[in-house]
Amino acid sequence: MRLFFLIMWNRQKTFGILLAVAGVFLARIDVFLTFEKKILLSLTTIGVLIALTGIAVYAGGMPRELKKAKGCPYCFTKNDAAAAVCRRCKKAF
Amino acid sequence: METFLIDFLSIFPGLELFTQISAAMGWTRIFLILLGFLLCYLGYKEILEPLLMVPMGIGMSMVNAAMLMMPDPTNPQILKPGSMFINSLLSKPDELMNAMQVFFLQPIYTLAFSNGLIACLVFMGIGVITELDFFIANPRLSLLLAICAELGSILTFPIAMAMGFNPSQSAAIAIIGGADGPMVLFASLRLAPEIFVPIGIVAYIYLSIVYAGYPYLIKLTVPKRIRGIAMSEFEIKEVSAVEKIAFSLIGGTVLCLLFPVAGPLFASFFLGIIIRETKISRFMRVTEDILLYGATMFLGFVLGCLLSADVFTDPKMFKLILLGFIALFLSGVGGLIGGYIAYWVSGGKLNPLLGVAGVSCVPTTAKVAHKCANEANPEAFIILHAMGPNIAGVITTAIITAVYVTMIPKWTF
Repeated sequence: MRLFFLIMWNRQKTFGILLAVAGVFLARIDVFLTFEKKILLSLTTIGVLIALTGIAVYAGGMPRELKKAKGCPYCFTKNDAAAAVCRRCKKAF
Repeated sequence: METFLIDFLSIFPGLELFTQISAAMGWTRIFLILLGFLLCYLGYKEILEPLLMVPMGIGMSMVNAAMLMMPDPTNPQILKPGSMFINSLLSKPDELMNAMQVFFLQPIYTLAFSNGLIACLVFMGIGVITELDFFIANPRLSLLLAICAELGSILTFPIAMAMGFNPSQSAAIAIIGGADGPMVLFASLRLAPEIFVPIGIVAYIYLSIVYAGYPYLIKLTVPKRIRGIAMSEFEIKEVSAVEKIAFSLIGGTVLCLLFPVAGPLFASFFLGIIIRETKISRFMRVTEDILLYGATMFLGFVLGCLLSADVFTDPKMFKLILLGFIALFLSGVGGLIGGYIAYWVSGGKLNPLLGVAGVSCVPTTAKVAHKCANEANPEAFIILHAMGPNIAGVITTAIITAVYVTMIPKWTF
């Protein structure tokens, strides 16, 4: 539970989740209310876009650590910039 | 002499069939046997994608060589050309039960293809080999390029409608432009099961040809000086595994709530990502080495076996061949347009070939972009930069597939 709060306790991530929930609610509004087909389609589309924006906002709130990386020229695996040998295919750079 | 020849041929039903079918179908059979050899050889030489082309080529040659007159399952009095491999046209439970005891690939087709399981297994494997860090390193650029590379999956829809396909069939065909095999299978099974076989075959043959064809498109449209832009050292913004697991759970849940019909695909993909991030090595080995490659092998083999002469001579097949080409060509062009936008906006620092990697054929298009850049300038090493748009392409194609699968049946045209 503590780990969960540690992950979620971030204003941008919380906003992203709320946005996604609002989007899902709008996209599925036909469960609660009846609309004309064209209006319903517009609401669904707007809801989907809001929900996807919510996911993007959530992703933007994830803490990141900047690191330099090196790609293996043989198997194209991501390696640490300081590595001398590929961690996957074990070939020397 | 003629009677002797007919008696002699009856010893070999595969040869006898040539006397019982039309000349056009006979020639198509020979053509497909030879095409199977060619695909197998090109796969072996790694000119086309070997993981798909070797089993598909073998299946195509063998099924066409092994054709014979078989009783029609719906009316056993009628004999028609068929094989002992598979029958994709059955749907009634009793016919399916009988077929499973006759056709050796029928259990795999019925229990893994017609319900989309094989697409989900491949997608789970893609999840396991997907490094989300590449996407998170530069999500805006990756998404921009991936959206541009969806040009084919958007524009092919009205083109297919104009060519006489109904909206569901047009949407299923348009997904070929996303260049993501499991999505094409999933969309065609959900939207247009009646043309699933030709769409699946056309899509997979073209996805393999992407490997050989896109370098020509790149060389035609991007000058060597620009192709060889080396780009700076790759800096990755790493996110912890717990964060990625939380993102997968939240993202997967929201997408399943929005597009329940595509839920199996999202669940499989995010399960794959979570398996990777939890670092359960035994699950990773099973998913990548057994499920992904096992499913890919059977996918290629079964699709090859489905391409018998009677399917190939279906008039819809030629339209599908044309539309599949248009879809992938437009996606490649869209990707390059996105790449050029990124090149100009960055003041010439970004290699426009990254746009081609937005076509979501993981990791083929990223490798193609890297190979072309590396050929133009041996110092150019853009594979890690190309993986971001490549992964974003999987996400955008999944969303477009989900939109088509969920919305098209509700629309009236």
